[in-house]
Amino acid sequence: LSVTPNVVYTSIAGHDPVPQARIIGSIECPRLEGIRNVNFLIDSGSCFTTLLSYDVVTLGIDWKSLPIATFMCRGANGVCFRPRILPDVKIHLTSNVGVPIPEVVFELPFINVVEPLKNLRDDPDPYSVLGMDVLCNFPIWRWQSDKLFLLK
Amino acid sequence: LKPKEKKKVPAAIGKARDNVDFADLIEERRQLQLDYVWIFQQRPSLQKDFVNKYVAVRNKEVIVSALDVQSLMRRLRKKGLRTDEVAVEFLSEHPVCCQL
Repeated sequence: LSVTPNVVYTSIAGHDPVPQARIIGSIECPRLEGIRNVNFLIDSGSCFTTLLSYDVVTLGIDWKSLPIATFMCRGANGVCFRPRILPDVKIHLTSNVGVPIPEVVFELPFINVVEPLKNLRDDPDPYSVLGMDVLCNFPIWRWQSDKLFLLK
Repeated sequence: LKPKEKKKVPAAIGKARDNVDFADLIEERRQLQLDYVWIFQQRPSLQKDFVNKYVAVRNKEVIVSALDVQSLMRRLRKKGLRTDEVAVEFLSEHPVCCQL
């Protein structure tokens, strides 16, 4: 089992480029129609896979009807919040090995959904985060030139 | 005064995709990945034309640009496309660094 996220760099003046690994996955759940693609940022600092503002809006998730988590999450800015819970989610990723079964599917009891910001321009980036609930299935992480390989 | 009718919010926007062929799904994601790589490579030149805008790219071509997500969704819908069928990037004037 192996997946290769796409690595992009953010260059901020005066600083070395910062690599960000992203992977296109597809999510499937009873609350969504069909299987929908999501551009995930690989986030080893996130316990759970989380859909952020852009995807919540564009996938048309009725987030107000989703149950609120019983646990608290702390965001990167230190603010604690209770996310919404999207239950029974399957995340499809493309496996780069095992050609007969190129599709890997992770069945998760839930993923987090954040309440979208009123003004999306405050958080305009069109990606969500793939957390450790999925990434823990890949115990070996290897950076090689411009690629990140997640292997089992 | 009449009470306001509560608008029924759809569970999801966009056409359903029943009986998805996994080979098609994998190919769709592969194409998306290529388009995202293209955006990354072309970012400096795209930024000149589409600064602080969302761009939607398909087959290495900008097919829609918009200032906000709602306009982007509307314009893509007119073309019969969903937002998750195309590579979308927000081309901010200043680079954004993720703090996770």
